[in-house]
Amino acid sequence: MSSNSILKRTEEFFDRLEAALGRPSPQNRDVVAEVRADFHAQVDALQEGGMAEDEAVEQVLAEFGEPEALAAGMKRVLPPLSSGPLAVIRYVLAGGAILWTLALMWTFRAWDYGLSPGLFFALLFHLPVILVLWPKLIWRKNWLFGVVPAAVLVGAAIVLNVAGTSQTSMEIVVAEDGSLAPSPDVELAEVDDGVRWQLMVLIGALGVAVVILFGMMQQRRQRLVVLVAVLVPLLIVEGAFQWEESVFRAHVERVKRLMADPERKLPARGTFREMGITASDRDGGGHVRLSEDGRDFGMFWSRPLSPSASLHYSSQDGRYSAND
Amino acid sequence: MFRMAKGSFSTELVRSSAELILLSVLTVRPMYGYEILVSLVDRGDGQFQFKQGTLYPLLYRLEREGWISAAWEVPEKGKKRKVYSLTKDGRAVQKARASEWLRFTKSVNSILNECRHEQQ
Repeated sequence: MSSNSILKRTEEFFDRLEAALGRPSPQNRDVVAEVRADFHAQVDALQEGGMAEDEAVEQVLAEFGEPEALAAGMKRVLPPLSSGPLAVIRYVLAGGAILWTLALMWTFRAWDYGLSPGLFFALLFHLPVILVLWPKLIWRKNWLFGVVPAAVLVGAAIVLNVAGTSQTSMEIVVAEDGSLAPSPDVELAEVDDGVRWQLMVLIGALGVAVVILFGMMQQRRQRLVVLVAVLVPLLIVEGAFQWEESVFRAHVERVKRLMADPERKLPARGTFREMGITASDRDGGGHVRLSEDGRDFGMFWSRPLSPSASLHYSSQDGRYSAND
Repeated sequence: MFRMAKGSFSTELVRSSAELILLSVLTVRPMYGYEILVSLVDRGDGQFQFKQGTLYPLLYRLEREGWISAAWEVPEKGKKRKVYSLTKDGRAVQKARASEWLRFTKSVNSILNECRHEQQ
């Protein structure tokens, strides 16, 4: 066999391997380069053992087998869409989804007093999307990386985000009644039964999806990192609002003490400073209103951590609440 | 698939131990693909040999698990090669699996010996 013929046979093998691996990408080029290096190392070793070049190439080609079969075996374990510009796009999309999720978690938490279902729902809903988008996190060959499941996942994410946004607008109308008294909260229990069931099914499905995706993660370390990356923002958001609510409760207690003091004559309404709760109106947006008989009071505090939301307290029923 | 010398181990047996075998070979030193193949033949008394179609997916799977890492190296003599080395996690997994394998084979040997004695 001539050296041209050997070269042609070898290049044909690598052309077929490259084609069988699919779309050109840094990852696939790396794989071909590795196989090429090992191929030549094996040919060199056989030649060093006294074999003629053409025989050596023939033997190594036979040992490597069909390039399509070799590529098929590799594609089963290579991460899909995880190199080059596609990886960058996936990082950008995942980063955007993370920021959007954090913004939603912050907003939903601000709309509730105490533990917020919305906070967990925002996280639960977006976590599967983020896990799938982030390259090399979940890269066993699986159905999630098919075109149809991916389209369904992204479509569902968009539809639910749009639906969520329209729901937000409705709640803002409710909140803009101008009263200082607590507005009725929209609790899950008060939602229409049909919608509630749909929500429960959705939450269950999302929970299952998260568990499956955690199982699909390749490395135990990745699972730990993701778990920490999920828990830390959750604790930060929850901790910040818990602290803010404790400050509000302290303000409420101060008003209670002032009202119990017969020496003090409180005005019918006023800001926190005017009521003597705070030294200044620096934290702004805080108002107290006494009932006509002066025995009860309502408090309103525009949340410092999220000024579009507010905290309320009514001494009539001793209830704390939040509104957007 | 796995190529075996005549009269050697079953494919299933070799497949079940393939990860341990590869991790163990890499405890000696970092190696590139062809070097691993040669090392397996040499160290395994020629009893089994991996084909490239088995080796690469297995290497990529171990890399995916975070047990080995790969890096391109240019030796003083010769062309650049992709060299695989054990990670800290990989070393721990190898140790645990090797220990498990030794316990397993010891147990199997014990059963085989007991049965052989009872038959005699």
